[in-house]
Amino acid sequence: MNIENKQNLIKEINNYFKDYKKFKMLSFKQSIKDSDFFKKNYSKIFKLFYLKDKNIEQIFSLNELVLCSYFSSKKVIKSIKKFNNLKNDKKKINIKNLFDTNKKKIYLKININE
Amino acid sequence: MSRYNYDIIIVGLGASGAASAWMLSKSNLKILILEQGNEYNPKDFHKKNDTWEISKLKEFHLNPNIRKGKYDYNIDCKMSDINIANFNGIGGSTILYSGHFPRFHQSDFKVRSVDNVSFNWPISYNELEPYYEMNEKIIGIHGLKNDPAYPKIKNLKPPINLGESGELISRAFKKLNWHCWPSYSAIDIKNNFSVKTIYDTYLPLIKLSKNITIKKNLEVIKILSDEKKVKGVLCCDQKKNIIRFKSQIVILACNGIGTPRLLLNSKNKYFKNGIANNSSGLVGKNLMLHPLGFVEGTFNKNLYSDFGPEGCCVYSHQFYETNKRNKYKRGYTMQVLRGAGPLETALYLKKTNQIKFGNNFFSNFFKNYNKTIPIAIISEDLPKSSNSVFLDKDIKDSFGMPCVKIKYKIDKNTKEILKAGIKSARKVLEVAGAKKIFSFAPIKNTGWHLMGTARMGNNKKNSVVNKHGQSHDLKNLVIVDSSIFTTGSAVNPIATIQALALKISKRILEKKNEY
Repeated sequence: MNIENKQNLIKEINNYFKDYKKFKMLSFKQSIKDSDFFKKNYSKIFKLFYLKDKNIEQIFSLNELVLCSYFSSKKVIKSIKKFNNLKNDKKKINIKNLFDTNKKKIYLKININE
Repeated sequence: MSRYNYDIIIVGLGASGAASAWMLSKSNLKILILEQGNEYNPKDFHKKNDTWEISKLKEFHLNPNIRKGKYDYNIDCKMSDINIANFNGIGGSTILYSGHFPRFHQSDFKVRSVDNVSFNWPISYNELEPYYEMNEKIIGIHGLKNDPAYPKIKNLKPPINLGESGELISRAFKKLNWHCWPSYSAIDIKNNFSVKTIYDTYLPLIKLSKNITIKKNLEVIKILSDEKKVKGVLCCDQKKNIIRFKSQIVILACNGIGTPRLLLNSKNKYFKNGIANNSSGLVGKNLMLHPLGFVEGTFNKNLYSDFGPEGCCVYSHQFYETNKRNKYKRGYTMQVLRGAGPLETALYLKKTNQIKFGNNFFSNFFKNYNKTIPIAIISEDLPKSSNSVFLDKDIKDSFGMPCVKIKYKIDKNTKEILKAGIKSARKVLEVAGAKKIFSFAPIKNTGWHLMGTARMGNNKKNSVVNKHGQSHDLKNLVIVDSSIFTTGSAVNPIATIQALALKISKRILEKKNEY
C-alpha cells in the first residue's frame, strides 16, 4: 500500500464527516494523526474499503473501524467536551427539593422468626 | 510436582475473595490466594480515560468469548438467552462493574414465606446487616440517608452529583409519586469519578498482611479430597507445570460460573459427579443471571448525560416487592444510568441506521449524544434447576482445563416482570419530556450477575452449602461467592456478595475447629 493509496482512502473517508466544521470538530484526516487505533487498523480499513460487493458484516466492520479510528483521537474527545461546555458537570443540584427523607418506608418489613 | 502447605487457600481474588482474605488477615493463619489471571494497573480500566471506549471493545470487553484474553476461558452460550459477562484477573468482575452497591431487601431472604416461591435463605437480612455496614465502610459508599426502600443505612458519604439528567428524571419520578433515590455508589470523587474496585479498597489492605501470599497466573484445576475432607488443590501454570498446595481449608471465590466449573472438574472416586455434589446433585444448577430490560429516552435539550461517574445515577424500588394485582411474583429495580460515550453513541446510531456518513453526520450525532437518559430494568430471576452450567469437554482453556457451556432460558415470571418494568420506565421518561423512547429486553450481553449454582440452605438434599458457606459434603470446603445465593433479588449483587464473604470468613476465624 503506497502513500498515494493511503491519501486517497483518507480523502474518501473525510467525506463521511463533512459537516465537522459546523460543530467545531476535526476532519477525519486531522483526527487520525493521534489515533493509535487507526495506525493499528489501517490495512484492515483499506482492504475493506476497496472490497467490491461487501456483505453486511463487512459493512458493519468497516463502519466500526472508521468510527473507532475517529473517536479514539484525544483531540476529537477534547473537541466534543469543548462543544458540550463541560462547566455543566460542576452544576450542583439541590437534592433537598427532590428527595423526601421523611417519606414512609416502602419495603416489606419481615417479622419472621429466624 | 511441588508441594506447599497452608492453613487456608482462597481460590479467586475478585470481590468475594478479597473481602474474605481481608477478614482472615486479622489472624495468624497462613493464607494463600490463587488467581488464574493477571494483576492490572487501575489506570488501564479507568472508565473516564479517553481510551476506555476503545478498550472496552476488546481487551476489557464484558464477554470473555470476544475478549479472548490469555487467562479467559470460553463460555459457550448457544443454549442461553443471555451471554455471560465476567472478567478473569485480580479484581475479577469489579474491573468492569458499575460500582452500584444496593443491599438486598429484607424480603429477598424470605421469598418462600412471603411469596410462596423458591426457597428462603438460611440467613436473614438482620444477620447480614452488620457485614453490609462493615463492607460499606471499607469501600466508602456514597448515598443519601433515610431511603424509604431500606431500614436505616449508616456510614454513607455524601451522595454523588446527579447532574442535569439525574435531576430531570428525579423530578419525573416525584411527579408520579414513585420512589426514586440517589444510587449507592462506590465512586472515587478525588480520582476523576473512577469506579472503586478492589484495587482501591481491599487489595492494599490484604497486601499489608505478612501472612498472606498472592500467586497470580496459576489456575486451580482440581480440588483434592477424600470422602470427608478437602486436602488441597492442584494448580497449573502457563507452562502446564502442575503444582500441589495442601491446606486445612479451601475457600472458593470464583463466581457463579467459575466455582461450579471447578467443583465439576474435581470429580474423584468419592465424588463421581463433581466434588461437593453427592448430597444434592445441584452443583451448576439454578443459575440466575438477572435478565435486563433497557429503555432509553432522547430529549431535545442537552442533558450532559455522558458526564459524571459511570453507572447508576438514581434508582427506583417502587415496584420491588410483590403486588397481588400483578401477574408475576417479586419485582424489579429501575436504574437510571448515565448516557453513552461518544464512540458508543456513534456506533449504536450507525448500527441502527439512525445516522448516515456524509453531509449531516455531526448534525445527527449531536441530536443524540448527551441528550439521552437510559433506564435499566433489573428483574428478579427466580432459580430453575434447568438453568445450568456444565463442563464443555471439547474446549479447553490455555491451562488445559475444560471450559463451560450454559443452558439458560428466561421464564414466564421474569418475562412478565421485564414487560412491566419497561412500561413503567417508558412512563417516567414520557413524564420527563422525552421526545423519542425506545426499549427492548432482554439485553443479550448482560449476564454479569452470576448466581445460584451452589446454593446455600439448611437441607443438604436441596442445597450445596450450609448457612456458613460450608459444603454439606465436605466441611472444610467453603464457598463465599455469588454461587451460594439461594435466590437472586432484583438488585446488583456486589454488596451482598461481599457482606456474605465477610460473615462466612469471620465464622472461620471464630470456629476454625468446626471445619
